[in-house]
Amino acid sequence: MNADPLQQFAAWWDEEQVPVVVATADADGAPSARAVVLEGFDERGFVFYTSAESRKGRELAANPRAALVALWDGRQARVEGGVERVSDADADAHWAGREGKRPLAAFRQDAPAGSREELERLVERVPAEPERPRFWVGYRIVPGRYEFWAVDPDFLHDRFEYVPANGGGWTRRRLQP
Amino acid sequence: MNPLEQFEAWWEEAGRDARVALATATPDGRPSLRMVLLKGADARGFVFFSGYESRKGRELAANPRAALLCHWPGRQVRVEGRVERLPAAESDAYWATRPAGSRRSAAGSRQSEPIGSRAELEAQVAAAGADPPRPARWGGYLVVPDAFEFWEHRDDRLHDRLAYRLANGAWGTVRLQP
Repeated sequence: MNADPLQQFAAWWDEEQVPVVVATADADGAPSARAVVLEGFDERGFVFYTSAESRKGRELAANPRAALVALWDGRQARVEGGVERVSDADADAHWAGREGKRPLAAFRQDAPAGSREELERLVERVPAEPERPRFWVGYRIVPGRYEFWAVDPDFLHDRFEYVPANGGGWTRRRLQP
Repeated sequence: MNPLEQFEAWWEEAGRDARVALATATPDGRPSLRMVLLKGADARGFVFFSGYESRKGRELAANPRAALLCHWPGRQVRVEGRVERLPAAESDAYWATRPAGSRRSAAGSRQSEPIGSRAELEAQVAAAGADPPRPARWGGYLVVPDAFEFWEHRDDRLHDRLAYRLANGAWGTVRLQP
């Protein structure tokens, strides 16, 4: 295991990019989870894009904390921390490079829809190359804890937790499986 | 189709992949997330096993709610609800079906507690004995659903999302915008 958890995550990610799951919770502590596309990560944190009006967007507005898990064959990486919004400039740059902008701009994510035909009508109202809607934003999970888990054939799975060290950097310790 | 039947149909098509993400949270709303193995789903709920003193066990003791996410190619199923422990007899019955190495590991490991080294872990597990009984600190949980969501990818990004909510003992459905 690398002493730097970001480098460790990058090593596994470079072997295979996988969908990740993000958990949020409402202000009362009821958790929710869904798969998202991890659009990037660096020393600032782990970034995904979504609608600020979606359930996760509303939960993050009220309770800006999240947990992320990436699953590979026999491996898991967990990241937890506070959540901040990506800058408008970064979100615009991301939007410019995206495909399939029309449905992203057309829908009020998580609002009810009467039918598939209604979804099609909503898309038709949007121009072919829409501007980034104000609700389409990026979120960055700023890691306060990492965990890496690797399967062991004898069920003594390896688990390493990283927490911030006093004075910077990270402290790594093994956890029992 | 009720949501459990819908789940069964998709789970079967996914080869009964047991790997699901389980989200829990502290009472003040700090979420945590890890993979668990789904060991069953029936009219009572969704079953997984864990150490009761693990981080998720402690979170569930203080805040007995969870969200499960099954993610299969092009599909997601979300399950949310309250969590209760399985009766001890059912945990015992499941314990008996586990491989010996798995039983030894579960009996010898204080899940989520720090340990100095792999050698220390091996020694601790060896000390638990060759065929340990189920410790009281390890057993099953049942997620009792009050909400489901079924999500299916479409190439035009008009993904299908169908949410089920339990109200007055009956499941209502609503299509959601993707």
